[in-house]
Amino acid sequence: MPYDKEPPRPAGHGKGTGVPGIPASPFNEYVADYDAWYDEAGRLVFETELRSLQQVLPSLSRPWLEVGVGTGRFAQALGIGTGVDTAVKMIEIASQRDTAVLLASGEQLPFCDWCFGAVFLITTMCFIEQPLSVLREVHRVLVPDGKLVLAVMPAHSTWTQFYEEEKHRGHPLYTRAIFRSPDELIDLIERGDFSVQNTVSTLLQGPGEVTRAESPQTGFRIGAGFVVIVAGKHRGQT
Amino acid sequence: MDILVCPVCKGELELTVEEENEKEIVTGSLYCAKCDVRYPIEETIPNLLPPE
Repeated sequence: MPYDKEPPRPAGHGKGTGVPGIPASPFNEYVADYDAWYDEAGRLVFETELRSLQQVLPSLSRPWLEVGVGTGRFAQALGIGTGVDTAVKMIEIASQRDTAVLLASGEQLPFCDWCFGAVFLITTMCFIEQPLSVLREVHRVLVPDGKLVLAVMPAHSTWTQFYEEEKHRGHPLYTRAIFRSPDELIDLIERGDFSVQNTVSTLLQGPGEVTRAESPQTGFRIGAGFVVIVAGKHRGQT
Repeated sequence: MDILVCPVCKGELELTVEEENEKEIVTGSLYCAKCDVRYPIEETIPNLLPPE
């Protein structure tokens, strides 16, 4: 069964942005469609994305935090203990999924310094207008050898081309998405005082073509619809 | 709760419990004395969004 050509899930999976000035209200409004996507049209895409994230989990020390936890689908499946989001309707659902959740902004995280071994941003970065502010906060809450796990939909893939078309059609959620190229993403990570240590790519099947859950591939593959980047703090920094 | 701090000043928060069950705090608040801001806990979910 091919993947539905017009997935209800927005790029960014419908999460709150965590950034003041970008209201989370549309994510509250579309929460039911968003959450149903994981069980219905997006089931194989979700399974594909999970596989790529599961591949990097053994390298991560706990505890784990997800910024932009949405309705908690990834957090529940990956065993992420704590999640934050700015969209209250999303958080209400996430709170029923075995993850401790809070309403909080990624730009001003309410956690002490050095209290997480890994922080996940799973398709959240594309909704953040000032991502460096979020990365600085992630840097602060990570232990010295902690890891940033950035799962993104890079620009120029068939998926982000599809989402860009939706954006130009005025989709209420896609209009806020900013897709970044691999070079832009790596530059951003470096400017956030992180160093890329590992990348895993997947979702080489395009929109409307997904007939199976894919196995992840090592490296940053051009054309992949979903890429997981693991980055550590720059050496010598805390 | 031990890892929570004020999202603005990163200072300590003072917990007030109004209602709790065997698993978690249902209703209450987290107060930052330095900022003089009280962050609510409603239906088990702390709201630590910075004040507008």
